[in-house]
Amino acid sequence: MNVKEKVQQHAALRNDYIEMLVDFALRKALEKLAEKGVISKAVWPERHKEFKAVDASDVFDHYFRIKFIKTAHEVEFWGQTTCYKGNELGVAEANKTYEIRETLIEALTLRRHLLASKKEFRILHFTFGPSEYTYSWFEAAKTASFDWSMYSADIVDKYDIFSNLFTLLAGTGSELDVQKRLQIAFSSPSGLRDFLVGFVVKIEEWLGSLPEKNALADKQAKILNTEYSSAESKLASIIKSSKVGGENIKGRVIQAITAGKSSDPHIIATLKRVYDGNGFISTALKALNDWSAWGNQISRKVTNELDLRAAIDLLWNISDDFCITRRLLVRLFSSQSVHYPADLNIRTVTEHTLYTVMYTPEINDQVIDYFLAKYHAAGIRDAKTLKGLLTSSRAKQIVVDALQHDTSNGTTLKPSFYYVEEALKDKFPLVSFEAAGLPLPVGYHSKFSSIATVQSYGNLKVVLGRHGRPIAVIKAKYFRKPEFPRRAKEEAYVGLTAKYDLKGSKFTSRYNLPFIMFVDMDVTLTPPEFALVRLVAAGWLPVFKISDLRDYLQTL
Amino acid sequence: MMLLKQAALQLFPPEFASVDWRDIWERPLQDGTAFQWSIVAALTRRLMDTGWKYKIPLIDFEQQPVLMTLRNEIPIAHLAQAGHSATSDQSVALDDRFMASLIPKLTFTKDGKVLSLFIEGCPYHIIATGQRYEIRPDILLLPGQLTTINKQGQMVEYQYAYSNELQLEGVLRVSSSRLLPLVQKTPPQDIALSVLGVVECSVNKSARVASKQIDGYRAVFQFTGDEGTFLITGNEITADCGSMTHVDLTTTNLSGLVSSLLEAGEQIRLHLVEPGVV
Repeated sequence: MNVKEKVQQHAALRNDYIEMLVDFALRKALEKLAEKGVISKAVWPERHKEFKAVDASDVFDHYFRIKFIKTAHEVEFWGQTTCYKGNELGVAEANKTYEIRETLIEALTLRRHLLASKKEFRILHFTFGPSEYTYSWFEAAKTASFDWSMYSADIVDKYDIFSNLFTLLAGTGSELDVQKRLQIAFSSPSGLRDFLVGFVVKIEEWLGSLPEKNALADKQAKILNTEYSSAESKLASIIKSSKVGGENIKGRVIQAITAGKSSDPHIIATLKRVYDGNGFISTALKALNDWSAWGNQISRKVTNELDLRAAIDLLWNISDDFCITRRLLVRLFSSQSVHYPADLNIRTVTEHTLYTVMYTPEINDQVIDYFLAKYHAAGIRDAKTLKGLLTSSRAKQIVVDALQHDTSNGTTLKPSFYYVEEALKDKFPLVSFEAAGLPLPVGYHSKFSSIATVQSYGNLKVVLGRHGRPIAVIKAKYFRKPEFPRRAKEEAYVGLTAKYDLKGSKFTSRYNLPFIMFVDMDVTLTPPEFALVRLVAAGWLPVFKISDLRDYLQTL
Repeated sequence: MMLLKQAALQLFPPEFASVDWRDIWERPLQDGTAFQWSIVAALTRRLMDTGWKYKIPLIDFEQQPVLMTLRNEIPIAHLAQAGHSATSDQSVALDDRFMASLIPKLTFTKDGKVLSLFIEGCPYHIIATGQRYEIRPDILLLPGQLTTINKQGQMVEYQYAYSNELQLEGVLRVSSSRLLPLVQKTPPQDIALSVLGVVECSVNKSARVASKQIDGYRAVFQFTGDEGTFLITGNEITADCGSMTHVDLTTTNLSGLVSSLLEAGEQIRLHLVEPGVV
């Protein structure tokens, strides 16, 4: 099992445990409400309830339907649970953005359908772990999109629920074991009991008072409805065009990186931009091309006479090659896999800056001290031993793995967008919003909170037509087969919130321009229809071929 | 591959004509699924020929054509994509997959004896023994039969009559968990549960791999010596893997392939089902 899989397994188990805890608390709260005569009878909530519709194929962590005695109304409840693992510094983790976008669009899509069905419902969200682990807008966006969004810190602040739950549930093999242990924890005095009881009381109070549905969430769901209805007549042709395969731009670029050549001029131009944007790829290819020469060159710079601190400092900041040496330094002190290499617990050192930024002298010192301690602890005490590690076959493998990661990971390599720009630029230049004289695409969720900062979307551009007139907003992205539904969810939220603005209490169209999603995908891929419809319902027009894109732009 | 399909469909009872085989017969032979189902067909035919009556428990289910080829394995979420929310990408609904995991593919009766045939797993063994293991025998023969299976909301309840003395009961909760989603079982304590035997169908395994697999079955199902396991190979293996036989999959002769499969079915019968009853 590789590092990524191990990390994911641990995260999956953590999520599983927390979901069971929520399930347990919901069940207890419903039992209490039934005892008090608020609801007709207690039910055991369902877990992992599938919700399928024309634009959805989602799984909700919790579902139950109960009858309130006073009003005689039957209400169904759908819930999601999210875990944030946190870090020692309590700083925001940029990578959680994908997940929140998916969670929000799922809830809004479900809402659109439940509203249409005229059923009485509420949609809930439970967040476990430190709220400061994510950007500050998350909390406000959840509050605006669910009927109830609850954070674990609202129950008991700073309580480490994950460690306590892992201790309680260690070695459980079945749900039966888990339920038994949770019941024991619920009945015997402990910090966990206080947490559980507090949680049950919160749920009981909320369900017992049953606040009105969230009007702001309803309004968002209605935009999805409007967009879907206005595009419904085009759906058949969009789906048809998705079945002839994609351009596989990303695949062709990766091929060209390996081969060092291409006959497509747009690929060559794209490649140049990829290299300019990611120095690691060309540096790593050069180093791997002659690994022993690279090793000799490093060895000459890091002399045996240097003390270990000076050697680490040199390697961390070595000109041209630090994108390689840093990747090695963060891993080589341990013979085991390093799960979260960017978790140095030093401010401003994040996954996004780790390999690319020259830090200030103060931060640099902290980084060097951090690694000095790590290498000392591992019994590596001089420059000579460190050099041995740097030029080892394991080091080479780390560079190979990193290269593989960077050429396949969508967030570090964006050839699809570059290619589209290159292919259109003769007739339809793509420019920034600023250059087009348009307001920046800051998602409408920025308006949900007066204190939270929301950055504008970085990967959207404006297409200019004749006389430099803006005619469309565009994004181009590579969609891999297994990730297609997830990517569509994520981009649906981007489209929806960029296309619309919230003015006062009204959602209005921000640009009155079509939003085009150029879907770069494999030539043999047929995307799931619901994922395409999801993009359409969120305001996107998916296009799969450069020629179709040009034809469409001609009509604007 | 078409020949193997023809042979298997010739051997299966008529009810199997409606099974949705998906792409099982089109996959490369090394995938093993087609060979495994061919052996099921041959064993069924030999048991029918020797006086056993068969029953297809899934026959009462509307979804039977789709569910038949699913493994008898309780759906367990092995790996979530952390950092992403879940997407339902299964064409068969989760509750149907739970039901299918518990229902034997075939049940055979003769002179008061009852046994059930499972494919690539047997939830009753896992639940009753409390063992968690990764191995999945291609075919598993368990004494007894499923007598009740019901879905009540998110709960699936079952009763499996293992013997006159032992009734296995339980409730599973339909969910996509990494843990066994069992919420109730009878008997409540973990017990030893004997299986009649397991069959490993190997298209092209090396002796070392096959032998390791057979050793794995011996450990999990507590077989001693030569009992309990039967290996059928599509290639010649010279190693001590207990009882075994060979089916020539390179043949282009349909009747030859059918006889070879039937001979393998007969060997399984003689070794695992009715030792010594010729």
